[in-house]
Amino acid sequence: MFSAPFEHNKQNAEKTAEAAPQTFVSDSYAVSDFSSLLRLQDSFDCLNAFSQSLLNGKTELFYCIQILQGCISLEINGEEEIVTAKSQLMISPENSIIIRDVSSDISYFMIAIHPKITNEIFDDLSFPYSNTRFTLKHLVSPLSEEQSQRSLELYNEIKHDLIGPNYKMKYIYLRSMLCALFVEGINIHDYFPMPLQGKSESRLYNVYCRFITLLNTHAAEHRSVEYYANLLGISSKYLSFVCISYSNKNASAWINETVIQKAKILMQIHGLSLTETSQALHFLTPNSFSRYFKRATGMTPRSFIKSQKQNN
Amino acid sequence: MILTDENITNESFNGYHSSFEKKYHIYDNLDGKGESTIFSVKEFNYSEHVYIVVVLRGSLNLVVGGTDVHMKSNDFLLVTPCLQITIKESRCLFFTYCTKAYVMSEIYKHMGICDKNYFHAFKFKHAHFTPEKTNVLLDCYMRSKKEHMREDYPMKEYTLRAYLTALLAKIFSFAQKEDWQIHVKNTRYYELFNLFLDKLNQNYKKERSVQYYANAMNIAPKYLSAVICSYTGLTASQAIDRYVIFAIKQSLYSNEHNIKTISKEFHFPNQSFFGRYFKRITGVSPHDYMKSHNLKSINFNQDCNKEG
Repeated sequence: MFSAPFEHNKQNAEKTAEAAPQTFVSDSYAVSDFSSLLRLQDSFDCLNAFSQSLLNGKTELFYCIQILQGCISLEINGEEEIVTAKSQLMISPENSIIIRDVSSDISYFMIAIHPKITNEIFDDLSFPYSNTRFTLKHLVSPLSEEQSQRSLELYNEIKHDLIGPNYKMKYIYLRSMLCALFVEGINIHDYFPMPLQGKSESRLYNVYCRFITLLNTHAAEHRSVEYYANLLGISSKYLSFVCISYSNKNASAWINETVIQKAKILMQIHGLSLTETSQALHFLTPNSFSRYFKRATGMTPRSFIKSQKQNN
Repeated sequence: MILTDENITNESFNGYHSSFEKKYHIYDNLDGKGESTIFSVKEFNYSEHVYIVVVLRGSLNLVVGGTDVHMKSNDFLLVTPCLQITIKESRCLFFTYCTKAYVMSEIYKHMGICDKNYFHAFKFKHAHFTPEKTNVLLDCYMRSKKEHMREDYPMKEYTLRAYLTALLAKIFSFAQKEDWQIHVKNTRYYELFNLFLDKLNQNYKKERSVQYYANAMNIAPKYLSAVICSYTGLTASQAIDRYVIFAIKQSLYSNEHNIKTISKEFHFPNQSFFGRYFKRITGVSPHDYMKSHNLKSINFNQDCNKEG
């Protein structure tokens, strides 16, 4: 059996070979690159620095940021979020992030993970969905001393290994350490439901996960609960029941929220006008989009764009 | 002293022992007692665990199956299920992982090493590492131990598994060809033994007689027994029974079968025969075994009736 590990994984061996870790230690921060799958950044070598290179705009990576000291003010999907000392921030892919302000005494570390790795980790944790559940989500939670210490130790180990020499199963080693970090994060944020054990229970959950997945891909075109219920082969009442039992939100609230998020991102990050946004989201007229937006958020799209401009 | 799956306690071992849900066990004698501590567990009779033993200092003499293994400082040993480990002499600092085989096969699967349905059994690997490499393993172990000592939380199992995967990734990465200690020569005996394992792995669900395997390999049953005995210390029928029971237990853990379907899957004439076979070898009936491991028997027929 043990001959297997050595014959196998030529794939991985190649992967690590091409991904010779480059370490740039500039005067303020360290970035390590592992075939663009994993990036680390911290301010331990030198204080008073925060690089905006990794974190800006709309990203495809999954971020875990822990602040040890100081605070950062961010704008995530148009909402302001202040991350203070001793707290952890997790941001899933597809969110728009803008850094507003960084305090001068900042001490932090940050890990950016490619969805390929997070998907494999979720697979391992037997969550029946990939990173879709995380999409359009960000979580901020305060840390206890112990939790902070544990995450920091894990980060240091990952960094130590990443900078160190290559070996055959480096990718698997790093992935397992990230998995441990994830589980720690799940505990900190208390976000995930327990993975379901028996097969008998999983039907409901399966429907829920498939709905969220569909929502992320179809929300720009379809906004009726019935459409999604038809895709899933169930009645719309049942779909709403499933959503409420897992998230305390019914199906139409989920749909509205996703559409509004998408609209905000389009207008704010991509700078689309009202008409363009309404076309991109398949509204019949800009007028109907405007009404939809106002009903959900309490302000018209035009005033939203204005307020954003004023903030800038 | 024989240790079986059920009677493992702290009393039988005077070092540190911790177990999580009967799946992940760790043992060590690193805490203060030093090299003079004698590994008091004399014999492992686990039929379904994978062992990883690392000796940091001192020496440890074992009999694994039918082979004498002498472990020195910085030695690493991995033993797959169905093999009996007997400890002859021990004066060492060591740590040990002991993990249920089906957990291990999940880990291997996730590491991309092998597919899930192949259970490795009756084999062991022995390697000698440099002190630096052993230190890396010790770091990994201490991380696991810390996690074991932490109070329970919902996803503890996944952290333990992640740390074990990390350890295996390290071991498999830095084990060079010259590190492995060779205990078996490539003789005719070993060839036959490997052939037997292949045949067993293909046919364990259908055939449980020594005669069948001897015929399939074109040798006499007595000769087959001698071959198996020289590598495992068991007779042919014992080896076959052990493997079959091991495979049955893995099926029970998967939580997808009830006793009836398993007895059909393994080609037993009826359920009662299956029960008796299981009890003769393990000492408990399949039902009690499932109960003691918190496994639920799913009755498919009832579900079907309800739906119908």
